[in-house]
Amino acid sequence: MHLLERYLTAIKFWLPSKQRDDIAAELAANLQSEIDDRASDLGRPLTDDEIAALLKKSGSPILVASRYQEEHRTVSFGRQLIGPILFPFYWIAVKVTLVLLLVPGILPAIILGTRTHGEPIAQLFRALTRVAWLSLPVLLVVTLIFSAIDYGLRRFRLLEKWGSDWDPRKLPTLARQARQVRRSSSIAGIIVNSLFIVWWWNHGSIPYLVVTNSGAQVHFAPVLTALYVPVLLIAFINLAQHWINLAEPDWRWLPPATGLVTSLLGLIVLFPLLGKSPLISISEPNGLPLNAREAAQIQHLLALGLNWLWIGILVVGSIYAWRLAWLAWQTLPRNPPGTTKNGMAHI
Amino acid sequence: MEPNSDLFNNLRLELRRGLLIVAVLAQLRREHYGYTLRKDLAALGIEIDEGTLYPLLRRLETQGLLESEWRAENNRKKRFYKLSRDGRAILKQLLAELEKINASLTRIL
Repeated sequence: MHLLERYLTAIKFWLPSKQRDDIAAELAANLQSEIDDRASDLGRPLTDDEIAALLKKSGSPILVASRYQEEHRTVSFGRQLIGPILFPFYWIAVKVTLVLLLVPGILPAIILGTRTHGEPIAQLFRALTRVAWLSLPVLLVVTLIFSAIDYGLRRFRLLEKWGSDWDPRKLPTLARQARQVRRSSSIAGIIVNSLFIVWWWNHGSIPYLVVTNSGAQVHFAPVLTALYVPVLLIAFINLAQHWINLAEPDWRWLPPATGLVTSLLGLIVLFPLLGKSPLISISEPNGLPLNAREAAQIQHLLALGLNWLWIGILVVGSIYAWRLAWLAWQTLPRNPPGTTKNGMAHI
Repeated sequence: MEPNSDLFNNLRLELRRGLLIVAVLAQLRREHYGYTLRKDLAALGIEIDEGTLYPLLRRLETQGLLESEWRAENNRKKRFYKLSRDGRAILKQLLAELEKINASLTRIL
């Protein structure tokens, strides 16, 4: 019966969370009845091989779960571009894209606009217009990428092909499935890091932080734009980790190890910038220059932000180091309770 | 063109899709759970893959055509489905439609 449990646990992984237990219970009842029925016909319990053959006929976990997807939303333009199977992932990608564009595009305008000019509404409107123009081509690219994946899935019947090449006996044990790096986390990581890389690739040297009412543009100083390559490198390392964990969900040590390495990289790269001045440069293509007090305020805010970022990375890095040490400790071979170091039992 | 070509299979699937729903609704005038429904339909000559039937039952229930209940049978909990009142009305209309199409097809052929 372990094989059936392992199969149902693997299916549950892909099911919509609201109905996960209900669907799995119904599937369990139906499969169990079929197993009992066959056993009754044969006059003996089914062997593991026979149960495996029955589960293989039922379909691979991802294929079975995909048939229960309640998602009916699609993206269509004349014909269907993105079907219901991919739509939930597409929707995550759209939301992540918007966050990646909105947060860096609007937050500086709100914070700096409020602190230095007292006209946050005008700043916000300018920033929103800029973000809207930037969003359209990016969202179009995201939609095209997902359409291409959807076309490939349908044209080459990939889900069905993956479904026919699986072996129920190779499903991981229940304990292993519970400990694995969740596939949803790997997929989310791949989407977030891919979008971040595309965004950073194009806008790594953010054109300007804020435009003042007088028309002056506040840029990052060249010393900060030097972060472009290291940040890109960190994003690529994270992307690689999520891809590897998607293929090897048993490698639980990889996320904290990657987190530790990228945190150390972040600390090393940011350290020389702490207390450095200036962190911004100001150009006034059409308008009046910023006054010294406003410039100093922006400089101060940015320096403060960098200090807090460095401390934040230090804390996150320490948490990763602790998790890694804990995993290592758990995997260390230990003497069974009641034995001495050389294996002798206590009397 | 060979009869087992992709085109034939696609057309066959399209033809079967609607008819399977009628068969499932008709069979659920009497209460069944997923596995026995599949077995009974197979015995009557209508083979439905479990991957098609079990999700279909949930979809028909969401549409209000079926109602279900979890109940124990032989010490195992199972989800029993039966036709709802709306389901009965729709089935009646579908069967009338099917009869009309069948009569027309017979005349054409």
